[in-house]
Amino acid sequence: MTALAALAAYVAVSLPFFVGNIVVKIQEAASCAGKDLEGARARVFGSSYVNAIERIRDEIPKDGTYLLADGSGEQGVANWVRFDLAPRRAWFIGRLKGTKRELEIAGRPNDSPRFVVVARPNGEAPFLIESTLFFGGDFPEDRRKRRKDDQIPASIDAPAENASLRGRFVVQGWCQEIGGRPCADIQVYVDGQPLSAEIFERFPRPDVEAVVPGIGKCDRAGYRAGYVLDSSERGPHSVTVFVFTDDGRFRRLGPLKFSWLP
Amino acid sequence: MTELIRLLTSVAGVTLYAAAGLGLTELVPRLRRRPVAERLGWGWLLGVAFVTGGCFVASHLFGAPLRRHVILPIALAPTFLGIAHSWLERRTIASTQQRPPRDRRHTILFFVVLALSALATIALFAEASTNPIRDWDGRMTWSTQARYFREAGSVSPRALTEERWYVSHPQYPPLLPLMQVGVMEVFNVPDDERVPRVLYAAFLPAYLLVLFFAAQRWAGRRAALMTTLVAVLAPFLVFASHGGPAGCYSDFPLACFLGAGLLSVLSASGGVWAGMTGGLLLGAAVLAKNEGFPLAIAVLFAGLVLALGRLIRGLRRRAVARFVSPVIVATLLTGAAFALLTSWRTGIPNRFDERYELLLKARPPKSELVAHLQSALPVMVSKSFLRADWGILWVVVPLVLLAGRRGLRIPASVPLLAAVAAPLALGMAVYAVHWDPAGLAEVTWNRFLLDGSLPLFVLVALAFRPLTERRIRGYFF
Repeated sequence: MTALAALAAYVAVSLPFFVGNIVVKIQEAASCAGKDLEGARARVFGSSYVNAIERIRDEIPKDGTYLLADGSGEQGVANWVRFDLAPRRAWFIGRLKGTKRELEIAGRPNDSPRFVVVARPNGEAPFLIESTLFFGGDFPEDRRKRRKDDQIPASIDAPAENASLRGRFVVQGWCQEIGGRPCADIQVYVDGQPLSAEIFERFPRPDVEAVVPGIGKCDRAGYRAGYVLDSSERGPHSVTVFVFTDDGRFRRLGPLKFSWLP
Repeated sequence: MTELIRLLTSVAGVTLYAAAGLGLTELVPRLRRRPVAERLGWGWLLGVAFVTGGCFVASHLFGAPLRRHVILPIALAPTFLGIAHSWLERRTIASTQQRPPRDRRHTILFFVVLALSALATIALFAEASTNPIRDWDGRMTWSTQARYFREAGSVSPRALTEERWYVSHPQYPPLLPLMQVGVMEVFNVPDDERVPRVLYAAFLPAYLLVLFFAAQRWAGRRAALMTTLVAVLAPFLVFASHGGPAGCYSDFPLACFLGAGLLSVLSASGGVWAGMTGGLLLGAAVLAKNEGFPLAIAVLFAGLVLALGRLIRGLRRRAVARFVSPVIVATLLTGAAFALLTSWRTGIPNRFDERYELLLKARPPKSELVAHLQSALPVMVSKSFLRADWGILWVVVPLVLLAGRRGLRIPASVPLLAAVAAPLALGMAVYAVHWDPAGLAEVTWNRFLLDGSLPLFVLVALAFRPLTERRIRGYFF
């Protein structure tokens, strides 16, 4: 009877855990029931992360490749990004900590995939950046072979000269040729270095379209690059923006000085 | 993909493998006459093993693309063979005379166990069919591998064969990723990871069915019900997502393949068919996880010891052949699976992996091995007795085994015990040489406990038998 009493005690102890687990499973099922895969994934991983993955999937074909950098500082996050982008093949290039890079390759390889995907801390959106921008100085044509043209319509709107910034900061502005052709490329340098942006995006600037005669539709005129520096980098900094046109011209904006605190 | 279509596809995927396995059970004499429910349990395991193993052979050895026109014939062949055999057998009078009478009495305990098992299965299926993959190894390794296989239509995609690409554990055995690919390709499923998740959940009812009927055969219905009750109430075994059927780890399928393979090899007078069944399942264990090969070897060795014990007791040659032949046939099939796996691995440069061979080279001196293991001991104990994972299972099991030791006095207890101890011994051996034994034990000890759980529960059933056969009667038990 001792064994049977032990069995009864086991059932008495285990049954609440069984019931609790059943309830949890049913709740998890109910929370995602009726949702498509993206909806279910957004429910579990957050819409910011899932939307970013969808954008990256749209840019890189299924049989494509990309460079993967781990900017999360957390174990496993790069693996989750890799799974979500599979079957696209990832080439792991190293880790990022603010402006510090612990890369496993010296520079942009000759046969490099077009994009770098940077994994961010758990829950934050990974971002996509052209590998030429990530590594810097590897623009398809050397900048020195291009013609400098200070007449290219462009501007840095933020940060303001001598601004004091804290935490996450944004370098923002616009660039477009007269007639409606967006600038082919925009490179942002912080302290003369092509710092990896946390996020980089192009967006419409209807205000520019309304004000600048003959500039045409400004659907991609705006640019925005977000950065986070390491806390050891407090103090004065500078930002320089290079804008490039398709026909071989470039313009330098800045350097603008600003100070930064964590 | 609408929700209804996705759910139907999940059911169809489970049916694909289960039907193949049921066809195989129809071909195996000792399984053919078993109850349908038992055949479903065995059928699931055999179906997954046969179809995915067949796809692996087709892709690796013959370069056949992992597409519907290759996968579907492999899956349907045993189904149709089984149907044909069943039809032919019904035409013979002798088969009806050999079916054993079935005990139709059902007690309250039967309905309790049935209800709990059904509830657990439904809950797992519901969560798996609606939620994306969230478990660590599922996202890091197994399901990522499945996507590479599917895209390339091959078990040797560029992502694995070219060293440049970032793949965790590229040489990990590919059976479970292939299981996912099979369903996705046959039913032309877009990349919805919820469809293959259901396949992992299906291992739970298979485990419980195999356990119940094996325990019933060895220890009686009452003991089998009590044992299955214990199993279904073990939280980690049923609900764990990091190792159990609620996730996409390979540990729970490995436990099923190892346990069922052992039961096949140990079957009295099973002959060559038992060996083929056991070999298919142990071969699947080899192809499911790295630990599969050493643990399959341990199972085969235990079976060989039992068979040789019968030989020593002076049985006639024909009887000995019936006991030894399952082990020999199973060994050949398991060896073939390992050879296939090794051949496949030669084409894949290893990287981002534990590198066990380096681990052994860098192991601490012999004098420190025990100290190394001791540092993992507190973690092993705390994980074993964590009530949220195991309840008080590891208190109850030793008590039951001790109280019912009279029921363990059969030759098969030794190989069963060996099959329980083998994964634990393997785990402790790894902890003794690993640079972070406590950290490794934290994430692996529960899974080593899981690997030997099926034979352990059979032992529990054997121990329950003398405790229940006379003392308790009535409608509950």
